Amino acid sequence: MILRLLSVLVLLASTLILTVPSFVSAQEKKDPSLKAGEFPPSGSGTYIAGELVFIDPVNRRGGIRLDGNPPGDRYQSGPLHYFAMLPFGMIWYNGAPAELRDIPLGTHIHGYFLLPPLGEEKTIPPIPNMEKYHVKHNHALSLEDDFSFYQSRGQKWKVVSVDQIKGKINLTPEGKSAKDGINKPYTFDIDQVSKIWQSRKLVDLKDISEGTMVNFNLAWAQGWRDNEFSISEIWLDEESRAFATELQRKKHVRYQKQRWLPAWVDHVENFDYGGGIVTLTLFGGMDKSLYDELKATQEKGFGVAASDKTLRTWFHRADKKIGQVLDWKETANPPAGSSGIQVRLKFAELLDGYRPGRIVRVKCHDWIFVTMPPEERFKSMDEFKQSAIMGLP
Amino acid sequence: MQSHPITRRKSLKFAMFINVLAGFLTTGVNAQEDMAPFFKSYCLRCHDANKQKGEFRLDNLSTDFSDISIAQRWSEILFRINSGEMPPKKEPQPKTEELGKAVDWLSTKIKQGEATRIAKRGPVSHYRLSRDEYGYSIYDLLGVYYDVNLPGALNEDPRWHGFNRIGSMLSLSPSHVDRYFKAAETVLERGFPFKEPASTKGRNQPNAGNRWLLFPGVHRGNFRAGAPGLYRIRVQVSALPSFKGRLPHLSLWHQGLKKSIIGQDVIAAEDKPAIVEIEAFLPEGGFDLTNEAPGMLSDGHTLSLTDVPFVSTKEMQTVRPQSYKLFDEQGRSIFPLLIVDWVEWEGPISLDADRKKREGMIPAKEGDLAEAQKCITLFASKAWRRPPKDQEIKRLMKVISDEMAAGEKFRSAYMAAMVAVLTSKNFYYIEEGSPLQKLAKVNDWELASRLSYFLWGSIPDDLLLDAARAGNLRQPEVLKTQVVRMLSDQKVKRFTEAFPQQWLQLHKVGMFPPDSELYPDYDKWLEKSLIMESVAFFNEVFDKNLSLREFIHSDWTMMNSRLALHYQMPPLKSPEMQRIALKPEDHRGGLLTQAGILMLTSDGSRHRPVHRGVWVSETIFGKTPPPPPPNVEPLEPTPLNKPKATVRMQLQAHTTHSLCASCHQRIDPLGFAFDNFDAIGRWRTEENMKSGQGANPPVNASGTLIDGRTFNDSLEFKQLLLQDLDRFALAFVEQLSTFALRRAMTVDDMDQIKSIALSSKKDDYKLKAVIENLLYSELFQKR
Repeated sequence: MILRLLSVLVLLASTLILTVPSFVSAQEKKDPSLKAGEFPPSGSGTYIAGELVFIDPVNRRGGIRLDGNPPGDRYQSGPLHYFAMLPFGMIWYNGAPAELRDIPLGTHIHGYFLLPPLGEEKTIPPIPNMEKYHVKHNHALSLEDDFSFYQSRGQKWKVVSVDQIKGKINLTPEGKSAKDGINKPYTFDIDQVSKIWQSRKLVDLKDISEGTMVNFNLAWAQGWRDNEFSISEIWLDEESRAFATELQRKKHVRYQKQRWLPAWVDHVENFDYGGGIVTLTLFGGMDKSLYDELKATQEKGFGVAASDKTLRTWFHRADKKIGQVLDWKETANPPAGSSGIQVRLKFAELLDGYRPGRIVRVKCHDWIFVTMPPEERFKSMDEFKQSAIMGLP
Repeated sequence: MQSHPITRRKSLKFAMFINVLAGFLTTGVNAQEDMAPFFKSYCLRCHDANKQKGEFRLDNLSTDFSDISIAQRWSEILFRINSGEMPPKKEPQPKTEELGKAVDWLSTKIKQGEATRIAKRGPVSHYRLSRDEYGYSIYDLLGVYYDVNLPGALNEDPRWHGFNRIGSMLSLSPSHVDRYFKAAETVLERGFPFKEPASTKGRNQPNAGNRWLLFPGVHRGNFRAGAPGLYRIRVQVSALPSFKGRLPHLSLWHQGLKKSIIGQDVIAAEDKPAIVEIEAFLPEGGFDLTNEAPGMLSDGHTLSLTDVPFVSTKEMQTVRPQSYKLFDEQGRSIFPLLIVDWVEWEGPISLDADRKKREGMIPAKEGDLAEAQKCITLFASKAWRRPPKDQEIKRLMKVISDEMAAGEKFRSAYMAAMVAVLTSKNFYYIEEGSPLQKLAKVNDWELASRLSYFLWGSIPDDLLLDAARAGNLRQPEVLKTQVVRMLSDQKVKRFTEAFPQQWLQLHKVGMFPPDSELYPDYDKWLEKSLIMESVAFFNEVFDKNLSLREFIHSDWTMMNSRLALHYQMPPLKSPEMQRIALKPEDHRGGLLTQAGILMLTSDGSRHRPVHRGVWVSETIFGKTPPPPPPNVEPLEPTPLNKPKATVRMQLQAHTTHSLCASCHQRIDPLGFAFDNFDAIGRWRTEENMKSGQGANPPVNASGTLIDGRTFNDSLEFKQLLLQDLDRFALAFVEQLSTFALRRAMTVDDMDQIKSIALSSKKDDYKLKAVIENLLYSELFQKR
C-alpha cells in the first residue's frame, strides 16, 4: 500500500514537471494563440526537432519522436509528438518546398511550432493516459530536413574525418552558425546503408574526403536518447545538392499546380444582386515560379476553390469559381506563412467558403484541371467534420 | 459610342424648311410674290445650294402649298421666324415690317392651301387595329382573353415616334390575314366551346415539416394551366429581404415560354408567412414559382441546395463550403429569399360578366336560321361597331347555308359565319368616311369608335352604340355625358397605360441592355419598374386630375420597393407602387428625372446627352431636331494615356465645326441638364470613366438655352421649362391628338390644337380638362 502510494506521488510529481516543460513554457508567453486569418508575429514559434515517424499526408499531420530523451523518460515511455501543419505552415526537403509525403519516414526534421489557433485546440487530442507528455505547441509553422535547415541558415558542414571501420564521420560547422539544431563539431554514425551522393551518382564511403563541404540528412541511431544520429544521406558536391533540390522543386511545382496554391480570405464584399469582391492573401513557402506564373496570367482570372485548414478540397476542378483580378499587391517582408501577395478578385457568384479567415486554393488559368485521388477529396460533410480532429494511430 | 440622334418627324419639317425656301425662291415667291429679297437677305446665306445649316435648304423649296409636305416645311419656317430663332441673332436682322410681311405672306399661303390639301384626302380612311386593341376588342366583345403577345399570335405593330396605332403605318400583309384567321378560330372555340373546359384546382407543397427555399433562379411548385384563361393563384410564403433591403420577387414562370408572366415583390417574416393572391390571365402550359430577384445562381456545376430539405434559415447557416453562399458573415441573407409553404391554383375561372357578353350571339335552337340571322346580326353589329348592311348579313347567312350544304352541322356552319365576321376588314379596320361622298366630319358610329378606341382601346359598349344609333352622339351634352362616363370607367386604364408608353417612347427602355459589368445591379424587374413608374405617374396625374406642369416637375413620384432601392431612397413599408413625397435632395420630380426616361436614350454603356436633348426637344417642345450630317465620326473612348474626359467634354471637342455647332447648341443643353444622371438614371456627381488617366471628372450639368437663358442643373432647367408651360401644353395636345386620331398632326390641325391648348389653360392645364377639350373639339370629329 505504501509502495503504491509512493509510486502515485512520484508519478504525480513527474507529471507536474512534464506537463509544463521548460522549453514550452518560455515560449507560451511569446506565442499567443492565433485567430483565424492571422499570421504569427515575426520570430514566433517554438523549436522542436525529432524524427518523422508517422504522417497523415492527406490531412498534413504527423508524429515526431523528439530528439534525445525528454523528461519523463519520454524516449522509452512516452508517445510521439503529434502535430498538425498550420494551413500556412511551410515544409522544405532537400532545399526545396515540399509536402509531408515528400519526406521519407525516419528523416530527422527541425520544426517551429505554435499553440493551436483559437477554436482549434482539439485538433490534436491528448493521448489517453499520456496527458502528461502532451506538448501544447503542436501546430507546425515550418518543418525542415537537415539539408534544408542548415543550408537556409548558411551553416555549412566540413568533413573532419571518416572512420570507415567504426562507421563514424566527424563534421564541423562552417560559415554562419544556426541558432537552433547542432552548431558545433559533431560525430555521426555512417555505414554502407547511407546514401552518398556525388554529381548525380551514388558513391562509396571511401569517396568521402576530409575537408569536403557536405550537406546531410539524419536518421535514428542506437544512441538516440543520447542525441546520437546516423547519416541517412550525404551530398558531397554542389552538383549533387543542386540535383536533389531541383528534383524536389519540380515535384513540388507539379503537386501545387494540381492542387492549386493555398490562400486565405482577408475580406469579402457581398453583392445582393450576385457575386462580390474577395480579397485573398496567398500563403508563403511555395516555389517562386508558381507566384510568377499566377501574376503573369492574372488578366485571365483565377479559379478559387473552397478548402480547409488541412488544405484539402472537395471537387475543386468543378467546384471552383473564376474571379476577375482587380488588384495584385505585393508587400516586402511579409510575416511568416505569408507570401506577401494580396489579390482582389471579382466574382459573378460566391461560394459559401469565401469568408474571411477561411482557406481557399487558387488556380492559375493556364494550369490543367486534374481530379484529385478520392482519399484527398472531401466527399461528404461527415468526412469534412472527421478531418477536423487528428485520428491518432 | 456616341452617335447622332435619329431623324424624327420634326426634323423632317426643319430639313424641309431649308429645301422649301430654296425652291420657293426660284419657282414661287421669286416669280409671283416678290418675297425673294427677304429670304435672300436673311436666309439664303446659310440655307442655299452652297451651305445648308441644320441640313436645311431653302433656295429650291416649292411654293405648291396644296402639297402637305411643302406646307409643313413652310409652316416650320414660319414657326422659326415667329419664335425669333431665325434669323440667328448674330446675323443681319430684318425690320419689323419686313418680318410682318413675310409672316403674313406665309400664314396666308398656308391657310389658302388648306382646302386643297383636305380635298386631296381620300374619301375613306382605314386604321387597322393595333395588336393590343385587337386583344381588348375580342375581350370586350366575347369575354375571351386572347394573348396577342404570345409567339405566333399577332404580328408586332410598327411604331412611328413611339405610337403603334398610326393608320398609315399599320399595313396589312398575308401574314396578318393568316393570323387573324387563326386568332378568330381560337377565340370562337374558347368563347363557344362544344364542351365547357372544367375549372381545375390544385395544391402543391413540400414534404411535411419542410418548406421550399427559393433563392434567385430556383423554380418550385410546378402546376399546369390546362387551358388559357383567368386563374387564381394563392401562395403561402415568407419573403426575406437581402441584407441591403432588396425584396424577393415572386413570379409565375411559364416553362414553355421561359419567361415570367406575372410577379410582385413580397415581404413577410420567416415565422409569419403571408398569403399572396394573384389573379391573372394565363396562357396554357406549365408554370413554376420562382424568385426573379437578380443573382441567378445556376451554373450547373455548383452544388445545388434545392435538394436539401429546408426547414429554416438557421439550419441553413452551415452548409458545404463549395455550395453557393447565401448568408453573409453576420448570418444575414445575402439574397432576397422566398420560403414557400404551399401553392394553390384554380382556373380557368369563368366570370358571369364575361359569359354575359356572349349572350344572344349564338342560336340556341339547332337549325333555326331565323335565330341565326338575328344572332349573327347582333354579333356583327358589335364587332363592326355599326349596324351591318343587309347585303353584309346576306353574305354571312350564305356562309352558313354553304357550309351546311357542304355537310357541316348547323353549329359549325354558324361558327364559320362568326369567323367571317372577325376576319372581315370591318372588324380589324376602323373605317371612316364614305366612298360616295367627301365628308369633313365623322358620323356618329365613327365618333363612337373614335371615343372608345381612344379611351378604352376597344369597341364601343352598348350605351355608346345606343347613343350612336340615336344619332345624337355629336350633340355636346350627349357627347359630354358619354365622355364623363367613359373617363370614369375602369377600361380607361388602358388609355392611361398605353398613351404614356407611346408618347414617352417607353418601349425603348432596355432596348440597349445595360452592360452587366458597369451596371451589375440592373435587372429585369427594375426595367419593368422603370416603365411602371412613368405609367403610374401619368395615371396619378389623370386620377387626381393634376396639371400638365406635374410632368415637368413635381414634389412627388410613384415608386415601388425596387425603385426605392434604385433611387437610394429609404425602404418602403410595402412593396407595391405608391405615391412618395420627394425632397429637393432626392433630385427627382416630374417625368424628366425618372430613371426610365433617362435611360431610354442610353446606349447600354453610357448616357447620351445629345439623344437626351433630342428626346426633350421632341417630347416637351414637340420639335425634332434635324438629322446629323452623314459620315459623322462617333466618339471614341478616351485613350488610356489621356486624362479622363466626360462625354460632354468629348462632345464639345467634337462639335467645334460651325455646321455641327449650329444644331448642337440647340440640342445639347437639353441633354446636358441631366448629366447628373448616369446611363440607368442614378444620381452622380462625377462621371465614372473606364478609360483615361486620373480621377473621374466632375459632372457639369449647366447650360445655356438657345434663347440665352442659363441653368446650373436639372432643377433649374426644369424651372425654365415651366416658364414655357404653354409651349409644352401645345406639344402635349399635339401628341394626344396623334394618339387619339391615329395620324400625324399637320399644319392644318395646328389652329385647332392651339385652340384646345388655350381652352385648357383656363383650367390650369389639368389633364382631364385637356383630354375633354380634345374630345369636344372640332379636331376630334374632323376627318
